[in-house]
Amino acid sequence: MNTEPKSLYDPIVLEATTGRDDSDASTTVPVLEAGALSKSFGATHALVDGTLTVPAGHVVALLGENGSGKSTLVKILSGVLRPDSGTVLVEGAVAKLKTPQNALRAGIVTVFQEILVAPHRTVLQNLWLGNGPARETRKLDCERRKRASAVLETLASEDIRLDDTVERLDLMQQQVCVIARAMLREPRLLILDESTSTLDITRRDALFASLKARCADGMAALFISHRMDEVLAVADGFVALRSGSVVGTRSRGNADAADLIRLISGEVATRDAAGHTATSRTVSDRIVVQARAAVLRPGSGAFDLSVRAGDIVGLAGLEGHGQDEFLRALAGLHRLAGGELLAAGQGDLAPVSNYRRSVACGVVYVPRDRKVEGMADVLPILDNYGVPTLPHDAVFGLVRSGHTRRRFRRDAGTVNFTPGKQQSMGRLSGGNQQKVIIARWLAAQPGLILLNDPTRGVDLKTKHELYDLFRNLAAGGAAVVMLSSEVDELVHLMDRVLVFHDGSVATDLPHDEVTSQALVAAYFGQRTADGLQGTR
Amino acid sequence: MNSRLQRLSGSPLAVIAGLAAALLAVNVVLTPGLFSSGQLANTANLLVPTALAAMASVPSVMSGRGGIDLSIGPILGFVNVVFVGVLVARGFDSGWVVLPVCLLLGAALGALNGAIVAFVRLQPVVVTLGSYLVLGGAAYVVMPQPGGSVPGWCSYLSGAWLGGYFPRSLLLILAAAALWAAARRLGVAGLILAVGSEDRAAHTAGVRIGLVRVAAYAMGGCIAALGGVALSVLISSGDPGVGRQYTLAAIAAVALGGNPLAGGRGSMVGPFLGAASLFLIQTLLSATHVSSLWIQVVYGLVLLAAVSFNATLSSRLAARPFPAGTS
Amino acid sequence: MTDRRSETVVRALRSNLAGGPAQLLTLIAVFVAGTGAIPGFSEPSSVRAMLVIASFLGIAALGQTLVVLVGGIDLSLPAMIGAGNVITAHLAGSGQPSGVIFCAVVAVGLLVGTINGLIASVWKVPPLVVTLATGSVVGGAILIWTNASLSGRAPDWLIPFTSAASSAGPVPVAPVVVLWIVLGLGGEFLLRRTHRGRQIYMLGANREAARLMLVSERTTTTLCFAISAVLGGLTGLLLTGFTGAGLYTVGDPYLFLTIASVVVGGTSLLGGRGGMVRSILGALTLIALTTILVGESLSAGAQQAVLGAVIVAVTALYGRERRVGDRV
Repeated sequence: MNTEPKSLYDPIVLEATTGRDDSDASTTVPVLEAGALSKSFGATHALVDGTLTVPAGHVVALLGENGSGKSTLVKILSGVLRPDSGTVLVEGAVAKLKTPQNALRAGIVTVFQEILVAPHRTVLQNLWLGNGPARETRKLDCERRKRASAVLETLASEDIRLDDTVERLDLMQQQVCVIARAMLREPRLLILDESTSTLDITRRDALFASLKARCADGMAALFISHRMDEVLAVADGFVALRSGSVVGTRSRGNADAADLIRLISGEVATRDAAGHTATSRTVSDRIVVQARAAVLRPGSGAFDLSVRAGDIVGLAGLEGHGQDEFLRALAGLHRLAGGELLAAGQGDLAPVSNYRRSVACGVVYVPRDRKVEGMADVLPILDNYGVPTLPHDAVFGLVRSGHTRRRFRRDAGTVNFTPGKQQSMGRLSGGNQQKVIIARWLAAQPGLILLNDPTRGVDLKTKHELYDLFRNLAAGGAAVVMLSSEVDELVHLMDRVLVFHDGSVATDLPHDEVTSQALVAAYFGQRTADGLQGTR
Repeated sequence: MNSRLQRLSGSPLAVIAGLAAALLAVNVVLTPGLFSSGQLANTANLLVPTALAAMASVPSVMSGRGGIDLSIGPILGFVNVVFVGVLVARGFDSGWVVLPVCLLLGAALGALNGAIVAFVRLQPVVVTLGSYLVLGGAAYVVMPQPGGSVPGWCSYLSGAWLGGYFPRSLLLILAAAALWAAARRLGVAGLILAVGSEDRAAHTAGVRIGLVRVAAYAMGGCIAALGGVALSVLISSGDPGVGRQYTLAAIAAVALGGNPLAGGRGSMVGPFLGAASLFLIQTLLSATHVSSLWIQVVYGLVLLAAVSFNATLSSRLAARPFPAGTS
Repeated sequence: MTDRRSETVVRALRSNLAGGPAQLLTLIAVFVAGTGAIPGFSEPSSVRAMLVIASFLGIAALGQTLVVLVGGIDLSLPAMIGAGNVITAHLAGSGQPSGVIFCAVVAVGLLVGTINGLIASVWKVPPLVVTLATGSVVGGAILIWTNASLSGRAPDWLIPFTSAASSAGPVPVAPVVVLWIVLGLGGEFLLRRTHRGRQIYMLGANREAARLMLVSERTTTTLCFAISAVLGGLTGLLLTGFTGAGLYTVGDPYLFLTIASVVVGGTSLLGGRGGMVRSILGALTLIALTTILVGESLSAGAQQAVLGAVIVAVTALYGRERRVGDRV
């Protein structure tokens, strides 16, 4: 509570007030010392100052918002990306991490955020992928089975059969496989990059127990998770990244959730009152979204809700708890398991049938993964803007490009994007790409705008421009329904936040009740956690 | 084991095995002559080059990224003309010289393809289209006219053992199978499949995916070289124009054999059976006195039916729900 | 540091090469080299002959371009060229009017192309395999129909239409060349200026994003394959003027040459990048290159070998894929 995040780097080693016995760690060489790592992609500085020390036997949590540089740091440490500058020492020796092989040989084993498995291969083959001799003998096979089973057992996943192909496993089991693969390598430093998001409580606890046991034997771990409770439960030290730099460190003894959240988000007050203009908007009585006994997936709870025009509604929850399905269902891209969903763009409420119909009715959707679903980066910006609405510009089937350009200038102005000379979409920054994608759908004159985590990977300035845009759109009579994984955004922007848990809406927080504490509590299915209220 | 059998019965491999078995049965009934002790070797000699071309396409397809190797046919032809037009013409006609040189040549040509695919990062279709043209053309440079002769051991290979019931040209198939078995045992095959299944997973797990791809193409080239030898056995001479036709036949056999072109899975047996089926369709048609002109039409229809069937089969497999979670 | 700078230079060069002017420069360079190396290369008569040969390849390559733009490959083109050729010769031989011949060729093309496109887009079978199979069926059907022999004759008007010595009105090139250029420019215009044209690019560049931009994969893919097959048939029709009779194997050399024209023109086999004009330049480059190689009295085999190497080298300048590490 006492430390302000002004000193860039406090080696955790020196803070002897941790919960565990550090007498060993302070005398031995740390497993990992990363010094001033930096990495830029074109004009964006993904990592400016990655400085980090992980002592043997410790679990260090790496904290930060999306785009804070965590993933870049992890990729550098695992040899996937090469840093522009900086050094990495592993147990005191300089480690050249040019390839994943280098990193693995140095004892750094990473479980990536994305579940990277070879889906057509068996569990056993995946567990030993790239580990040890590739040749297949009966003796080797026997031993590998034994050790694989043992590791799966420590992860409470004896039910995974070694001879099943991985594609037949569910997401959680695949995640377990990836973790088990890393464990089998007997890492010196284990990096878990949001590897717990799909695990249930049993598997997660087993993982933590196994982590603790291995750390007692001298392993070190770098742990990344968006779940504050996990981080607090497992970590001995905390390192916070913001905008590519380490902005503060804490140790187990001197950290609590509120403090860490403040450190990550970098703000002192939890609410920026000036930025909010909800009161200045007139919220009409027109209902634009209505769910009646909606069931998102088989087995999850049914819920009812409605959204009025002029509102900005946030969808939140831990990854995979149904908010994404709900948003996609509204867009006509996901079929409900039960119940009814009605949406209205320009006209009256009508059941959502399919995506094409939705767009025609003025319900538009901005997808989550820009590169995969949002745009074609090799094509000109004008195409990425205009393709769905080109018929507006056509006379006898021929598109008047001047007309398209005029339209684009108008809509680009609305989203505060200044078009340069005709260039390909891939050259734009993430924020500008997002602006073009939003402009694309403004051209369809939407009455209901569905945004799937639109500020992910977008720089701060653009973020605020987007917030203003969303407010203006809402003020103009449209409804904005927006999925967000950033607590900050939910607190500042939303008139109302629907928190999803286990596939249905668990908590419906009106504007006045949205605080980061309340959100985090709701993420875990609690209305308000004891002692976490009132920090507003 | 039981579940494994169950899965096999719904797989593309089962489809092609059934098709091949049925075709074989019908053939044996309708044209017993082709499978008699006197004729079986000739029948087999016709089949072996196509079968080897199909098997040669397998590793590169498995290695993913649309790794279809269009140059397999020209490698067959190129090995044939180097064998007849260079080695034999210069007096090197011992099998102990010819076979290693041919196999190394094939492997080197394949490795070159693989290296360009893996390290220059070009699309496999472009690279192998280029080498299709280069090798197809180079064959004419090495040997402008068909001709030459093959050494005695080739005519020995075209005969049969066991009273005519074991064609010796099958040895070449067995050699290819042994090569693949060795690759499996050494784990190279497993790595190829893993790289084809998800190269990012393999990369981050420390597999040198570039080298694995090179190995896949090299192995394909090596098997294609065996096909070149088989081709020499079949035509008993060198012919610069005959190799390329095997490319399309090989692709057809691979697709028919149920190996997905997206890579990551598949077998050596399927494409072999695919090639055998295409061959048996041909013998069946000629046995039933259908004009030989119909062969191409029937080929195409069978291929269309098989790939469409496999596509619906795999989409049905994908639609099967996950096993119930334990949470 | 220098490493990064040189990388920037290379990247800039590559992106320029992938743009239009580089193809034109390549063509000019090949042409200049030919003029220097081979006497009479740039004589009007020789250029006119090259243009005619290029136009047959070029028209088929326009169809291939469309299929490549949506991320496919059309292996049924040679069969369609053969079919167009044989149908034309047969119908002309039995005295049918040109209109009937034309409609017959177009109808067969539409049928085959639609089947290709539907199977590829509905069942998600790789276009390579689909078109290989339909090509085999079409090729076989022609064989059966013609009994594998040379048959029929060319329509009378077609011989001057495709003769290098004739001219299209005031333009001193064969009418077939004008037809090719008009088709190519028209196609490019439609690709650039129609909604469907832009949808084709979007579909080829990013299938998933295209779906969210209301592009119908089925319709668009099928349209591209259908046009490709029709253009293949048209090439066959025009080739009758050259062959004088229906020859079912007339399309065989075009299998890989059309793909090569597309690739050398700078259209990416990954889809979404390229265009018709590029393929025109690609076809011209290939034919000029072949003419030089012939003029240097290289054998057919050596010509082909050089051509293959050139295709790979040219593609290496712009068509490289992303590193695995960048995709993690």
